[in-house]
Amino acid sequence: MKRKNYTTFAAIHLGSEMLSMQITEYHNTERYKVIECCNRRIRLGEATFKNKIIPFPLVSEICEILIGFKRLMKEYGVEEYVMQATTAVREASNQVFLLDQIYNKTGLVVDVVDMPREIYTKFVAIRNTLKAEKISTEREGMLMMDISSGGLGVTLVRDEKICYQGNFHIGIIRIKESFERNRRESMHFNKALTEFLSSTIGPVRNELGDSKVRYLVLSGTETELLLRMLGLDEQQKVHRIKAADFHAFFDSMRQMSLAQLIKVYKLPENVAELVLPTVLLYEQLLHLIPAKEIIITADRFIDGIQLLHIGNKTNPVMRKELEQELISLFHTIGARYLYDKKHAQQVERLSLIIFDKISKAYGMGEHERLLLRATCILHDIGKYICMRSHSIYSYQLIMSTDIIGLSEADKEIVALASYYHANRLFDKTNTRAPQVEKELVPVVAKLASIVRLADALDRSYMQKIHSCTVTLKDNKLKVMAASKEDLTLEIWTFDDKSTFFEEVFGIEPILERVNK
Amino acid sequence: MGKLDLTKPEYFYNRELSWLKFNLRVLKEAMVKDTPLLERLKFIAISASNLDEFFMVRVAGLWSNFDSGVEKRDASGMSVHEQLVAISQAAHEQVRTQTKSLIALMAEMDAVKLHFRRVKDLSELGKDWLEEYYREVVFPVLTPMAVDASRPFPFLANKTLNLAVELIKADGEHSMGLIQVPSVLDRIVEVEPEGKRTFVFLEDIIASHCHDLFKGCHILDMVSFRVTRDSDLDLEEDDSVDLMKEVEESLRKRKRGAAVRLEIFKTNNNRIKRFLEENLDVTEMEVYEINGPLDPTCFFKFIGMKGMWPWLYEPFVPQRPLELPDDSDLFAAILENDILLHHPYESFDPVVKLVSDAADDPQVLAIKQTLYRVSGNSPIVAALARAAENGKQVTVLVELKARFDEENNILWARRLEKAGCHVIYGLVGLKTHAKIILIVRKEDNGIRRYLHLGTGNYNDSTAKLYTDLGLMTANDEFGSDASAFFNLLSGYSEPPVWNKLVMAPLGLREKIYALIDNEIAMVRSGREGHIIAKMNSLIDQPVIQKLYEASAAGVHIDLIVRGICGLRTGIEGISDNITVRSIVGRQLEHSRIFWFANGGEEQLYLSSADWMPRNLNDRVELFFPVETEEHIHRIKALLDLYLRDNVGAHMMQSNGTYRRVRNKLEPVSAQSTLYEMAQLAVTADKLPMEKRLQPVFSRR
Repeated sequence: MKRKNYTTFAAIHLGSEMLSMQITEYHNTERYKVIECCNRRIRLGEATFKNKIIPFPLVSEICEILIGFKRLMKEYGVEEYVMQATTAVREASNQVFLLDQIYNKTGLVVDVVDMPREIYTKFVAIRNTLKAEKISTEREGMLMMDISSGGLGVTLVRDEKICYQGNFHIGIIRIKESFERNRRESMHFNKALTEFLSSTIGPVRNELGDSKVRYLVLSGTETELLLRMLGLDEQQKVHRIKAADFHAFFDSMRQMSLAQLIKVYKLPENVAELVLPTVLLYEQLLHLIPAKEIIITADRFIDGIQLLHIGNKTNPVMRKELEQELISLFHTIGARYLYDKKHAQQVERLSLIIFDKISKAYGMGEHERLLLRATCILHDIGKYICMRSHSIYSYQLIMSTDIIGLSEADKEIVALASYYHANRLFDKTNTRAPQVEKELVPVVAKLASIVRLADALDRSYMQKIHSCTVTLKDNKLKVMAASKEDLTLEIWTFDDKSTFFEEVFGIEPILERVNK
Repeated sequence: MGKLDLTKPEYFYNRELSWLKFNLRVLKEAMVKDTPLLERLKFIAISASNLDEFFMVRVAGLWSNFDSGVEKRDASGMSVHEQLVAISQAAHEQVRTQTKSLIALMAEMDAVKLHFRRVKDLSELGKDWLEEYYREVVFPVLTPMAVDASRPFPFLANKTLNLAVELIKADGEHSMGLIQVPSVLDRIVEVEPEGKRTFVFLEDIIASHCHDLFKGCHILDMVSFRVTRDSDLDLEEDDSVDLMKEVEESLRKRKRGAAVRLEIFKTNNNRIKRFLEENLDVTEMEVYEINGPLDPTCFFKFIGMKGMWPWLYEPFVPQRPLELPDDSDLFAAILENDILLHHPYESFDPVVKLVSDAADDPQVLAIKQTLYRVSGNSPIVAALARAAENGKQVTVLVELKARFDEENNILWARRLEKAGCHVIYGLVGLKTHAKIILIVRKEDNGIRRYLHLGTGNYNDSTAKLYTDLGLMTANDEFGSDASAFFNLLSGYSEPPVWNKLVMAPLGLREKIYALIDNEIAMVRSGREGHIIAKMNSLIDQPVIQKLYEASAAGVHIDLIVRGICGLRTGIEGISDNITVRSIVGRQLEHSRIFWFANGGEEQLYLSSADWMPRNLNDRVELFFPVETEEHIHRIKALLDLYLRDNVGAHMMQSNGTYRRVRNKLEPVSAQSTLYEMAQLAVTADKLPMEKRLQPVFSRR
């Protein structure tokens, strides 16, 4: 049978130490084949973490390599590509110039991902690998630690739910760059580093409470180093190391000097310099979170780019599962701020009924639906701080929380929609109101007005409406709410809050109580 | 047992002296009576041409080391000067043998009515004809050059033949002059009116007619001589140079290298000798007096003259490859089975066809290839250019630094660039010697990669003379390694973790050690250890030591090394399990094959690399496994055939000399057997069954 049944896709990652490209032919997430994998070392991290600037020779070097990558893409007839840049580019003050140069010289558009998205991308790849290996988190938790050159991401997963997620500004190269050479060579470096790490990541322990963790899943470029030192095959997809074995290894190498490390493990000097911070960091983590087993997968960020791309294109099941995990994370965040879970779920349910009715006609899709759900779950968390002006605190809390899987822009939409579900847009008298950028106004207004309406339907916070149907006819949105209880408060509030919705969609919402 | 000291100088042969022995083997082929007469003459021409290159590169290199005071001794413990002295001795000896052989051959030629004559011995008719030939053809291109106080000694180009002339002026003053024997003219001239086939040398024609060339002078004496100069490219590479410019520049310089050899026709005229020695700045050991024709490379052209076929081999016709019975879709054939090609017995055409088909195939997206030395009008280069014009992505790694081919390479590299190919001009610090073609094809069920990997250059001319092996495969693991290889060379990627290929200088040396160590381990565990390795040269000292280690441990090692071999056989307890043989014959043995018994699960590799330091340290080379069982058997049978050869094989003796293998067994010539087999394979289906059942290794 002759038919074109695959697509050629290139994932490109401009990381802190490596510029990589992976070309894949895919049919779906199960049937795909990596046909080309290029990794070219670049010293981007070292340059940016210190001076916040990408030096120009490096910019030219990057462009040269990318021109080569473009040539390879042509050689394989690549149809789709995603190019993402992470920490080093994200933190460079001359980022825009780099992106402009790349675009002008190669035509490639670079998506600079923020840290939560970076962590999420890797999380998706690792999650997929562990699933394939049938490593379950059903009973005992799994703590994923992603250590990149510039940051540390901590994600606790139990029973397919994300129970905690936090990101820290320490990474291996960053540690290396934070201490000058003479400090690193000092006798006291080990102790100082231990204290530095412990104070930085100590709060994780408090956050996790008494959650039991069985697996500590490590990822990041430096895991390769660990595998090499342990004499394990770096190519193997998954490694499982007993915690006791790791402790023994740590004891054997902790007192070694740089020269000894180079000799014993046959490492080049620039690599050996990274050994101590790496192993010390792992040891600290294991000390804080006494897991029984360490798992290391070979997944890299670029595998995540690839999987997310292919998954979004071809695998609705995976997309749903991932979405479900994200929703669980929103709830985790809500719970941290003692949200009213039942109310949040009721608002989410009612919002989605309205959204699904009108989304198509108003240019909203899956992504907006996810943002709507996030808004519903998180819209009231500001009450944790202050009951009176909770919406501004909801906005601020959301803005200052890392939410993996959401980009900075997405997060801003959710935060703004949460604020404006309770406040008027363009209210010149409200000087505390957060500004909405022009291009965000439509989506923020649509989401906020829907949430405002759904919120009104549970004004009593009693979930009186047990089911609800919606019809749209002649620009009238008829909401038929089934309830055995009295809905007077809800009907009055609904009337008050419907104006915004009407302004945004040009549809008049009408609430009817159905006695069922 | 204490650790053996394997570094003793007496365990190694000097590289240059070993090479001279190889050239002597080539020269001695001229004395094999079974070989057609002019083929024997050709061996003299080959050995002479080899010797020229040897002086231009190796001897020149040693002199330049000597001049800059290099004090390092080689593995055999010789200083630079000791080497130069020994080379001079051996080369003088070789030149004497060469001249003797040449004179003997000319006598044999005389017997078959191919006459070489002095001009003075010709008939009147012949002399008249030559008189006119001189006036019409030779005279216009002659440039007599007087050398005196106001006219300094001119620069004589490398490898040119000249006449030194002693003059006396009317006033009785002696002086010297020079006449260059024009290289634009044929060196050997057939004197047509002689009736029987008669030939004279151009320098003799000039000498017999030039009395009035120097106006106002009388010629007292005349001697022909030839000068050889330092011609090695010495590129100074730093990272900012334009490699192309650098090579062009160095080519210009080459013409002006120092003289490293003076060949002079035997004469008693010491004035002329001293005149040349002084002006060319050569010492006595660099002077070669020859009592016969100078520069026998002229016989290459001679045997190509019309009517010479009775004294030559029947034309050698590369046959249709055994594994490619028809001209159908090459890609489909490769996809079905790996294809092994054995040149020159099997035609090189499929390799050209592979590139050519790819150039025109609408499904092909990209072609990548390394090019080291290609033929003058290479159909492969043409196909690559066409592919680029057809919109394929073509990447060509051109090695500009391929010795003596630089000029040629620059030319067609430009041509490829013009056609739109992405041309990479080598790497800054390494020569790319690997031979690989990668074709990326978009097929219905995805991208597929087709490869050709070889032991020899992509040169359709030399592929008719050099024995080489090539493998075509669509194996995915090879394919992804090939991509990674080109990505590495194009600067797109760091070295990957290889599936199948082994690359020099990143890991080949270690792989060789590991393979040899594995055989040692086999012996230690009570199994048999056996290595058969065929290559052009073996001179890498650490590898030789590793082989000694294996031999001492009880591993049997059979080496088939055509040229230089620094390993010494028959040292008690060190190398008594090693044999070394060299196959010299009609074809130039060029394939590099490495077979390891591996305790019964044999492993076989092919490679572009010899076991020389330059191949393992300073060149990009590939070493790859042959994995299909039939191919392993086929190549192993080939090695066994070489080991049974008692016609073209020379065994290294424990004193370092080589002796032609002579035994009471039926004569086996690997080269002719292979040719016959290839011919048989093509016609096999036309033979009666009883003939087809005959085993092919038992040669008539």
